[in-house]
Amino acid sequence: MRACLLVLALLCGCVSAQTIDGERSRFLSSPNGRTGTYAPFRLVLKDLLGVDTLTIESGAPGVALSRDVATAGKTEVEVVIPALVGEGTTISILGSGGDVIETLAPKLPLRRIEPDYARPYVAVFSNNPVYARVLVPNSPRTAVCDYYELQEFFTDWRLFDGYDAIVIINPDETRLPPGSQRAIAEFCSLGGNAMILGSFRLGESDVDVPAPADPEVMLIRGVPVQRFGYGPGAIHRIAFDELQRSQLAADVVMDALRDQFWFGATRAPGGKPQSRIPPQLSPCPPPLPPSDAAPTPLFWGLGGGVLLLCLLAPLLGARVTRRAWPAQLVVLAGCAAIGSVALTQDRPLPVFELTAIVRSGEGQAASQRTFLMAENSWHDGIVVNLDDRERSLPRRIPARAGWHAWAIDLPLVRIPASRGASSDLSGGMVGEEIFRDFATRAHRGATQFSTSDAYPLEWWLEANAYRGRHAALTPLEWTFPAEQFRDARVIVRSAIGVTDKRVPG
Amino acid sequence: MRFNALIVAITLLAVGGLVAYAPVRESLGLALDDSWQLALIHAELALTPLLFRPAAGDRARAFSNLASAAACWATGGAVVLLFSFASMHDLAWHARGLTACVWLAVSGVLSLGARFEFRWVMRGRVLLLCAFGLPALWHYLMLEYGEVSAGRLTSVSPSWAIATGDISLWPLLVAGVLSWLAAFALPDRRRA
Repeated sequence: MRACLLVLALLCGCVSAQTIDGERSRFLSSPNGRTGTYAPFRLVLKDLLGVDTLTIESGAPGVALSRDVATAGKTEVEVVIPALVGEGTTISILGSGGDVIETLAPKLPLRRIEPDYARPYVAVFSNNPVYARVLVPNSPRTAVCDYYELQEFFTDWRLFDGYDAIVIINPDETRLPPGSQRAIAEFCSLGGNAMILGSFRLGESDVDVPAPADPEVMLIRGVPVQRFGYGPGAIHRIAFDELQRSQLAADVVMDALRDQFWFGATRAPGGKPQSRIPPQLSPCPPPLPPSDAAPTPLFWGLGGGVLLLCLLAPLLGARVTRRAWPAQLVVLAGCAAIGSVALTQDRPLPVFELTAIVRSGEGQAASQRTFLMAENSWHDGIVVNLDDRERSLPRRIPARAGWHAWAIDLPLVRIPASRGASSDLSGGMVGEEIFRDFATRAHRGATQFSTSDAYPLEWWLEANAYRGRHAALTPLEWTFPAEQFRDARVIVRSAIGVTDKRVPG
Repeated sequence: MRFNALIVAITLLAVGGLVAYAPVRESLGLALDDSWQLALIHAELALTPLLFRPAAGDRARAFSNLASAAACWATGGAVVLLFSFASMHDLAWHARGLTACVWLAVSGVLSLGARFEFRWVMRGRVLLLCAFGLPALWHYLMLEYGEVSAGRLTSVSPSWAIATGDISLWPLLVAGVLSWLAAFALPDRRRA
C-alpha cells in the first residue's frame, strides 16, 4: 500500500514538475522589438517527463494565442510562438482543464523600433550569419535587422508580424521548412515584402495560395531584380550569382527593399509607413443606439401574477388565520418563484459591430483588418488557436466606455464585390478634392461611400494621404458569417477597400 | 400592514411604466435596456423607507413586521427581475443582497419606532432618508471645500454604492440586526 502511494506521489511529481526555463526563454528579436506588434518568442520547457501534451498560451491584454505542444518522450521542448511586445504580455502553461500551471512575464526587447520609411525593420534568414550582416547591414542609414538561421524560418506569418520585410539568403538551395510558402504569401498579402536572394526552394508543393502578379524585371545598379506583386506586398527575387558579382550588392538589396517600401518612388513618402501597430484612435463609427427591448407575454403574465399574489394571499390568509405572518410568508415564497421564472426570460444579446478595411494591390491576394467593437458584456478577450487554418491575429485597441475593441488582421482573403465606383488618392487629393473635403462629403453621404464608411475612410486618409501615397478607395459589399456567433448580435457597419498603387511612371 | 407587498409591487411597476414612457425616459437619459432595470433598482433602494409601513404594537406585531419586510423584499425583487428581459447583465440578481440589507435596516428602524409611537416611525423615515441620501452630498462638499474624500460613506448609501460598484453590506446589516434586536427586546406595554 505504501509502495503504491509512493509510486503515485512520484508520478504526480513528474506530471506537475514541468517548468518554463526563464533564463533561456526570450524574444528572438531581442534587443529589437516593435511595440504593439507580435514578435517571435522562444519558450523553453523543461522537466517534461511523463507529460504527453501541453497547452501554451501567449497572453496579451484582451487576447490569448494558444497552441498544443506534443511533449511525449521528451524532457525538454523549445517552441517559438508569437508574443506581444508590450505591457501585460504573459506566457503560460495550461493544464488539461485549462488551469494555469505556470506563467512567465517575459523581458521585453530594449530597443523600440518605430515604423520609419527611412529604416525598414527586416528579418534576415541565412545559413551564413557573417555574410548576411554584410549584405543586409544593421545600420542607422539602411535598416534595422534581426538575423536568423535559415533552418528556423517561421512557418506562421504571425511570427513576422512586427517586420516590414523578410530577406532570405539561400545560395545553397536549402529547402525551407513546410509551411514557409503559405507564411510568405500571408505576410506579403498583409503588405510585407519578401526578398529571396538565391533559390526559393520550398518544403512543400501545391499550396493553395493565390498566384502573384506577372513578374516585372527591374535593373537596380546593374543587377536584374524580378518583382512579383502580391496584393499590397511583393516578392523580389535576385539571382545570387549576379548579386555576388556586383560591387554594390548591399546597395542593390537596400534599393530593392526601398523600392517596395516607398511604392516605387525614389524618395521616402511623407508620414509614417503602415504597420500593424494598433491605432490609438478607433476608426469605428459611433455605436448604434441600443434597440428597445419589448416586454413578452411572459412579462405581463408574471407581472399580473405578482399583483394577484400580493392581493389575494393576505385576503385569503385573513380568512384562515388572524395572524398576518403566514400570508406574508406565502407572498415571500410566491415572489421568489416568480422572480426565478423571470430570470429565464429571453435577454437581448450583446452587440458587436464590425468595420473592415480590405487591402489589395497587384494580383488577387488581399488581406483585411477587421475592427471589432463589442459591448462589455460580451467576452473580455479573444482566444485564437494558433493551429487553426485561419491565421488571424487580434490585438486590443482603445474603445469607448462600455465597449471593448480589437483590430483583427487576416491574410489571404477574397476581395469582396464593390458597392460603388473607386476614388483615386494621389498627392493628398481624392479625385479633384483635398482628402479632408472628400471625407467631409462622405460624412454627409454625398459620395459613393455610406456615412458609416466615412469613419474608416477618414481615419485611413488622415494616416495615409501624404506625399508619395497612391491608392484606390472603394466601398465594399462585405459580409460576415454572423451565424458563427450565437452569443452576440453582429452588425456590419462599414467596409472599404484600399488598393495600394505604386508611383505612376 | 397586510398589503405592504402589494404597495411595493404597484409602486415599482408604476415606476417601470413611467420610465418606459418616452418623454420621461428621454429626459432621464435612459433607454429600454440595462438602464431601465438599473433605474428600477435605484427606485427600489430609494423608496424603501417610504414604502414600508410597520404595524404598531407588541412583540407579535414586530414579528409580523419582519415577515412583512421579507415579503416586500421578495416582491421588489420579483418586480425588478421581471425587467430582466431588457437587460444583458445580472445586476438585478447581484443587487439582491444589498436590497435585502436595505429592507432589513429600514424595517428594523421603522419597527423599532413603531414599538414607541407613530411619530417615531416618521422620525425613523427622515433619519433613513438622510442616511441614504446625504452621504453623496457630504462627499461633494468635503471634496469641494476640504479637498478630502468621503468615499467610504458609500457603505451607508445604497444608491451611491450601486452607482460606484463599491457595495459593502455590513453597516446596513449591523444597523438592521441591532434595531431588530432592540425592537424585540423592548418590553410590551401593559394596558391600563
